[in-house]
Amino acid sequence: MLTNLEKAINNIIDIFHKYSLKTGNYHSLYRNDLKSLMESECSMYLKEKNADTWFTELDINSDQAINFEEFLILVIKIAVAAHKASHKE
Amino acid sequence: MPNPSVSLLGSVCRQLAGTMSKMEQSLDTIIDTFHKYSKELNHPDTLTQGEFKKLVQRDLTNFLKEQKRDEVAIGKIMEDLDSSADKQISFPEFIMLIARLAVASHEKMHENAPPGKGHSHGPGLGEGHPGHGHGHCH
Repeated sequence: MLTNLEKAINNIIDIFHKYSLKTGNYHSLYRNDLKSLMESECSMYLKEKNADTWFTELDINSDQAINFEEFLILVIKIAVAAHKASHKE
Repeated sequence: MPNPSVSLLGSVCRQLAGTMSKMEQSLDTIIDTFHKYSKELNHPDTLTQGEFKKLVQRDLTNFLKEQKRDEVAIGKIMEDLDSSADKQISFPEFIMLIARLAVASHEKMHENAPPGKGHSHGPGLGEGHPGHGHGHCH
C-alpha cells in the first residue's frame, strides 16, 4: 500500500502520460499538449508566463518536444512557487 | 514565522470544494508532508536529519524500502540533497528528491510493463511484481 506522498509522485507520472500519449512519440509533450496540460492542471501559472514561453524555457535541448525529465523542471518550479505561496496565504 | 497549518487549512477547504486539479492536489500533498515534519524542531521550514529520517521512514516506506532502516543510507541521501551544506533540508532541496523518485518510479513502470506492442506501464516503485500493482495500459 503506497503512502499519500508516494501516490502523489505517481500522479505526476500519470499527468505527464495523459498528455504525452496523445500524438507522436509517447514520451513527448508538444506545444499544444503542454498548453492543454497547463490549462487544466495548473492554469494559475499561466498568468505571468504563457504556455509558449514555458515551452521554450523547458525545452532544454530545443527539439520542440518536452520529455519527462524536462516536464519535471516545470513540476519543480511550480512546487517551489506553491511552497512559497503556502506561507503567504 | 511561517505558519504551515494556515496553508493546510486553505488547501483542505479547496480540496473539499473539489476545485483542485490532480496536479495541485499532488503538489499539496508533497508540501504538506514536508511541513508535517519540518515544523517539529528548530527552524519550522527546514528538515533536520532526524526529521528527514522520520519522513523517509514513514512516508517513503515503499519507495525507499532498502534505505529506510539504514541510518547510513539516509544520511547519504540527505548529504547529497543538502546543496547549501547547512545540515538542513529546505523545500527546494527536498523537491529534488521527489523529482528523482518520479524518474525512478517511471522507469520501474516500464521495467514492469507487460510484454507486447504499444506503450504500457506496469506497477511503479515499491509496488511489487507485475500483476500485483496498479499497472495500466495505454
